[in-house]
Amino acid sequence: MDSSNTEKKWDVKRDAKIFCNLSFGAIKRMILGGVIKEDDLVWHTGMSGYRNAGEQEELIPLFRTSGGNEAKKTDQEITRCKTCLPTGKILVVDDEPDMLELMLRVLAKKGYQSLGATNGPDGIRLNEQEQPDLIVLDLRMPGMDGIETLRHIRQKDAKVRVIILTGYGHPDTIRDAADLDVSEYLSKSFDNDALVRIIGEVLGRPWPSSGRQTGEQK
Amino acid sequence: MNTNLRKLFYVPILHAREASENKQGGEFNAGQSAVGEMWAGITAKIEELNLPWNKTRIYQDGLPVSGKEMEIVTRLAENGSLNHLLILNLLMQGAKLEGTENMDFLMREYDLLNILLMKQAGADMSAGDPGAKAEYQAKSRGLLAQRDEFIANRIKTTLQEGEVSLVFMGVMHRLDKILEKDFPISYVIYRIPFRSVGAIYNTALK
Repeated sequence: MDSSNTEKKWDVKRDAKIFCNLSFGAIKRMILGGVIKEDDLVWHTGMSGYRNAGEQEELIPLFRTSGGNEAKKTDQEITRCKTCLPTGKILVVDDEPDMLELMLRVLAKKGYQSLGATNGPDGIRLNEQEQPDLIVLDLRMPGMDGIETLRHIRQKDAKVRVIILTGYGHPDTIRDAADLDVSEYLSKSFDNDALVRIIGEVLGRPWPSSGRQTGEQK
Repeated sequence: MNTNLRKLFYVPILHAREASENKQGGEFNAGQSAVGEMWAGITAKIEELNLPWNKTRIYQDGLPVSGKEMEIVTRLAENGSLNHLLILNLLMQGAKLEGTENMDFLMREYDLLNILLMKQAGADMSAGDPGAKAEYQAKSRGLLAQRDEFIANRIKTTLQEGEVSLVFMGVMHRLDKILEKDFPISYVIYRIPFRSVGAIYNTALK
């Protein structure tokens, strides 16, 4: 790839895999040279950045595009690329489809790999299958509610981080949440930016000494 | 509408070292930021309530009935406690402050915590002392129930008809379960950042 070609428009399908295999230094030079601009390239399922295998502690800026089916296809290729690490995989469990879709869209836009479930049993199954780094869990759901869902999840998974999001905050559920080792308990008046910031705070903390880790270190 | 009804607004809170260390150390970490935001959110929600401050009594977790309630709150606010700073602001708007706790119970809680901390200090740093923590939790739980009964009685006997109470209480108290039999309760909840206050919360309350 010619980093001097400042006219080049990045295309996920065409460029992302190549992108991923570039050295950190090469990517950095392209950023500094203005070839790659923030928001140039992204894919809608949420991968948000690239790290070189030798420099895994350093995350370079995000590249974005509008997503869509073509992007998704390339995303699958990128997921296999050993030099890529996601910033985090997040499972959202909420019975309100509109709310769920909105949160998934917001998270994907911010670069997270996001998954959704509209009920507790699906949330439990997806947690086992996908091993997310964090779960955003609605408390009030028909059938199995959020606390019951989390009790099931904790029977097999003591490590996954959990943010409770509820429109019906009550000390009973706060105490339950504390017993089930949640990271945050949020009243639903939170706007999207605040939620994303808190997710970042929760994910940005040191990982437990054993158990889950992010991305390919799992 | 019965204007003589005694109303209760209940604010579950997390205890943390809050801003006092930040003021001295300069560094503002994510945990302190989360606690700060928790209090900013609580403050905003309380403002939205438009309470009649001259008819509002404030009840604060850990504040002994001692005749020195105001002095204690002022001292803690000066030391950077956002919780007590908010209370001071509400008092300036006309709210009244009530002591809530039995001093003997508080001293027993203090002793239990000290014993735990001494045992933890003597144990392996990473593992802590699970036995000491379990012993503390068992004793503290019983004591907490006694404290809650005392606080509930304080509220019932000091809150007058037509007045409003604002109760700031640690999340592991079960005071709300006692009070809900006598008062209509509204909850003021914004953000409970359990992980951000981490060790303090887990040691002291869980």
